[in-house]
Amino acid sequence: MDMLPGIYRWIHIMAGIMWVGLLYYFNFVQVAAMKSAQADGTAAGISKHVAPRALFYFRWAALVTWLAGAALLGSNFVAAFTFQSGFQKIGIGAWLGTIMLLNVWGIIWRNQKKILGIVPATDEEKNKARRVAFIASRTNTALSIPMLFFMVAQTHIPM
Amino acid sequence: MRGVDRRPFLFAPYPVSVNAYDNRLLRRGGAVPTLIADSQREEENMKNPLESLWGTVITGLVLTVILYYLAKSLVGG
Repeated sequence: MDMLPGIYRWIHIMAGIMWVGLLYYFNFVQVAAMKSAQADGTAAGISKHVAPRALFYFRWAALVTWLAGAALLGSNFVAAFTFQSGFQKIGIGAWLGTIMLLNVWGIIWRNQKKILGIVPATDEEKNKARRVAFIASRTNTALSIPMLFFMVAQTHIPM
Repeated sequence: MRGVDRRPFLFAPYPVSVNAYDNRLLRRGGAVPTLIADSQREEENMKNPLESLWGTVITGLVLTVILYYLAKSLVGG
């Protein structure tokens, strides 16, 4: 039983690397690559073979990260989310992570399903979905910066 | 009631056609239309910082600084 918090932390960090790593891949690499690929007619390869796989690991890694983080907080879960004494920093990190998770499953994935043709959508709906998913993804990239800061700050940055 | 607009009392105390209202406002040429035009132009020129990667990173850093001071006040430091 003494090992459990360490195991939760290990899973939390591994899944978190996959989640945020893929988020950065989408924003720093794929968006720019798609523009170049569209210019030379090779974009279909990315949207057909790369994006669906990356999105699969991205959304499930997000959920595993959050669940492992919740398990790691354990009995301090409520204390963190209500910013009780000693848990203010991790509380801010936990809230940012939660907003990011809701963004992934509630906005990004819902719109990506239309873009990838998993659910039927008109061209107009697809264009709108592309825009919404892009902004939501960029929002998560911006939020990841303070989120990671506060995850580290709980034990390593005195205030 | 198509083409008829019930504006607040200050603007039109009785039902008036939209065209008549707009024409009257344009003829008046006062400060209100100017302000509206200026704010519209401003909105057109403003860009979402999340459009660019640098804008996104800077937004994240600014948010970090704001939340740092919020956390500091919560901790009581």
